[in-house]
Amino acid sequence: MVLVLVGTLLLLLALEFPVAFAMTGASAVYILLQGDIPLVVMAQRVTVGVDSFVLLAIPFFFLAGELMNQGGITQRLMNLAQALVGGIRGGLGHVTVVTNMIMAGMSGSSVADATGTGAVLIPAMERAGYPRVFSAALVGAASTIGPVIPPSIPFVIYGGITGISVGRLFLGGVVPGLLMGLFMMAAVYVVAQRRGYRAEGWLTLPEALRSIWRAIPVMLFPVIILGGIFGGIVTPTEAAVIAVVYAVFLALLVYRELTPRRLLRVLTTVAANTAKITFIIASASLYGWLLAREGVPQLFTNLFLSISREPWAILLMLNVLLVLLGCLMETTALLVILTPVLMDLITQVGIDPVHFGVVFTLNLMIGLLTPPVGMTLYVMVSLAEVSVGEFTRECAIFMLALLVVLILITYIPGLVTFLPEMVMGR
Amino acid sequence: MQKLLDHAIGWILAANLGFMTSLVFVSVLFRYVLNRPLAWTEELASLLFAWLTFVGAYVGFRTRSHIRIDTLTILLPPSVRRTIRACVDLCVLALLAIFVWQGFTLTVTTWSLEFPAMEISRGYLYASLPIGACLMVLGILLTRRDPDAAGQKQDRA
Repeated sequence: MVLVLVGTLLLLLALEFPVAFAMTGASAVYILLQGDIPLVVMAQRVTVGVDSFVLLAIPFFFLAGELMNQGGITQRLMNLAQALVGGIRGGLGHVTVVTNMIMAGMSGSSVADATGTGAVLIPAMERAGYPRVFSAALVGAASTIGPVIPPSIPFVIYGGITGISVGRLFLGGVVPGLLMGLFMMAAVYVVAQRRGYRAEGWLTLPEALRSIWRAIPVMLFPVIILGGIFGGIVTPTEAAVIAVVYAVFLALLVYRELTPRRLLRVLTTVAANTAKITFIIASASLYGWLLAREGVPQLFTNLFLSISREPWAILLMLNVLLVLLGCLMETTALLVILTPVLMDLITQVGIDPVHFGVVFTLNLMIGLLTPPVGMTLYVMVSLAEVSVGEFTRECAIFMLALLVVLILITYIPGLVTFLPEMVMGR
Repeated sequence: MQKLLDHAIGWILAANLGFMTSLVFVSVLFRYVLNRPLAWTEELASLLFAWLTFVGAYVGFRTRSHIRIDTLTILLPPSVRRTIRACVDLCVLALLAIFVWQGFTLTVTTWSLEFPAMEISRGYLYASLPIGACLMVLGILLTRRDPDAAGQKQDRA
């Protein structure tokens, strides 16, 4: 029966079923063949799967990111980044990385960041003489910092499924996210050196101060979100709402670049995009329940343990598996299907679930950039009008940077766990 | 007619998300500013979230933008791919029929149960799935009948 459950899912996915229906379809086939589970369980598990206050943070973090893109906030971030790092060789390249890092502190979705910063940065880099495919690859790679530096939609989903504190996961992502930015800037520097990209030149002091001054209202975002959560004042969901209200306030009243009409359109788009993801989560709640009933997590655990009992070896195998699966599968689908299966293994070999959550997410982020299935890849390819092959070649060095960070955080767990343990205790 | 439906759903979704946002914001205000926490806001917001999910899934069918994995099917000739698509749509309709049927059953059987804080029937939560599934059926049928109106958007996974 395990074969029916898993085999049907793979078959339906391969036939291009919508992911949510591949999961409910496999569940339906299993329930009908099994015969001892009432069919009403399908409706019950699916509904209860999204009756969750934690998951509510997803539309709110989406909304905050989208409002920033529409409200002219991204442009101000870029000006700030220019003041900070524009003078280094490969200037606008570093500006791209830093803009995405700051953006990461406010939005939780790589795809939203890629669209938002890409629309501003790719034209700017083209004017400065950078090849378009380089800019596209860089924006795509840099946008993957978004969900690692808090807030983060994948962390919310992982926390929602496992019951692990989303606040801890958020804190765990801080250092790895900064490392991603650092290594990516190093990669930009290497490319710039080799191809002779120049620096943009430092801004004069008054200019720089003005950019910083004008970005201060925007910089309050991360302070509100992260301060609120880690100060123990609000839950991540509530912090996300406060961020949305603040974004509306800034865009509508302070920068005046958002009209009520556009606000309405943003609401509709965000709601529809949220539904696509949460419907998958709802279906996964049914499918995951059946997997657990069949003892699949234990089978999986035993399979891994039969190869090795060493945490480092398990982590190595998981990383290889996840990078490969990340090429073939969509990230949300991978996250919701695998999380319940892997938790058993993780706890048995004594790997910190917060540590693993961050490692898992970074794997998924790499998966966003790899063909044949990578959301961010396709967003960038269509935004910059370059080919998938060109993009992938150009992106290789940034992927290498991400892989180095992945290895670092996998084998030095302290990089992830130090901050949450310091702030929130063990 | 279908334009009207699309617009209506768009409005409902926007209103739902807008209301959810205000609701959670107000509950934070009540807790910290007025020092009078509201017990029912989390329940209501989660309930609205379920409605957002199942009603919002309609849009995914209208724009053919539900997440799918086309790694393998992309290798097939277009005619075969179209046939597979038609079969997939049929299977999805069958699944939706199960959701409508079992969802209504569940709504009816749980009607007497209440949310602890809101003191309204849990049926309001469970009704979101069958009603959303009805809309999704409509969404699939409308999009099949008139593929151009759904836009040419390529749905990459």
